[in-house]
Amino acid sequence: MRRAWVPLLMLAACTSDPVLESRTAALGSEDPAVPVGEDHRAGQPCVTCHQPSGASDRHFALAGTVLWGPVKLQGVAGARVEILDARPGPLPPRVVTTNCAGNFFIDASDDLTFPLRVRVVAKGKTRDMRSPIFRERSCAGCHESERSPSSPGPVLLLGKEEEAKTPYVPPAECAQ
Amino acid sequence: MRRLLLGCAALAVACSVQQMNLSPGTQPSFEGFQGTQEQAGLKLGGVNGYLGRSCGSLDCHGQVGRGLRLYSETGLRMPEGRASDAGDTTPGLGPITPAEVGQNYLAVVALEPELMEQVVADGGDRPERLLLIRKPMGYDTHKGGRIFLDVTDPGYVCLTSWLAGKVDESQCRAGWAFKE
Repeated sequence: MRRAWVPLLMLAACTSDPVLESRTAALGSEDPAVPVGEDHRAGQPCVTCHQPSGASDRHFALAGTVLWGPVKLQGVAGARVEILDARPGPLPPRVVTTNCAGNFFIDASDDLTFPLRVRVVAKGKTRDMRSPIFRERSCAGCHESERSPSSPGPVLLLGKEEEAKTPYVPPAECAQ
Repeated sequence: MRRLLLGCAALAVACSVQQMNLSPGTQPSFEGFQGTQEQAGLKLGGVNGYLGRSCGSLDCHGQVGRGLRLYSETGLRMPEGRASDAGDTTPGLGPITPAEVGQNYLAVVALEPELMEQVVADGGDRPERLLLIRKPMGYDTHKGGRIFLDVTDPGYVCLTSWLAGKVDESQCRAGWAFKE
């Protein structure tokens, strides 16, 4: 009877993905102040979990978080994320809008053809990505929380000086 | 000052090539790699310009774990302290430096040094012997998929003309302009 478990254990070992598991573990615990849902884990790489082999049943084609400025790091509600994908022909960009946490996501059922060009528009400010996205589906896969030689830092609409001059005012439905 | 730094980078590359037991003159040229088109004292064309923009994004070859690791202006930057000419080392916040161009050259020629030497000695004949060509042509598994549509693709012409000893910079520029 014990021997019957051996193939099952071997199968389990084969189906696990240690790289993905370590990335998922690196995300840490949920913030107890934010319920699990569309506002949770702002600024983290969403598609670590929201992919077919990830921990969530909901899968995203592209997802991320848009912040107002580098000092207060406030999520921007209602920002338009415009995505131009590589499908041939003159097609309009896909547009998705951020929620109160600044999060946005496109379901995996809405297939995107990489590479993608992306820009963010909110409150009269526009920010274009300077390079295309070739395959990363989480903004935070490259846009980590801190600037470094391997990351431009979070997705920000404004620089430090602009943020000081123009504080973010959330819409009424998002004000806490 | 920039010219001096470029000269130092070229010298550093030459020394590194010797240290790696790559015979100088048998690898494709560094000059063709960095290109001749200047902007603000920096040479931006050539093979480096093409590779940086088409392959060097942070989600592809702009990662330190890659065999073909590429530094580029909007991708991975050389950490401060490693680059003698480093400005801001954040992606997108400063032009690519001569030291980064030199490191890119070494990354490319050290992929398959003996084979590349052979291709260069053969005047660039049968460049598909190299992974540098095989992968973007789709002949070998490439996580980024097939990049060159065919042998007229500007990127293909850019790389193969460099291997043949006379880089076609207009195609290198057309290659990344096309992708953008």
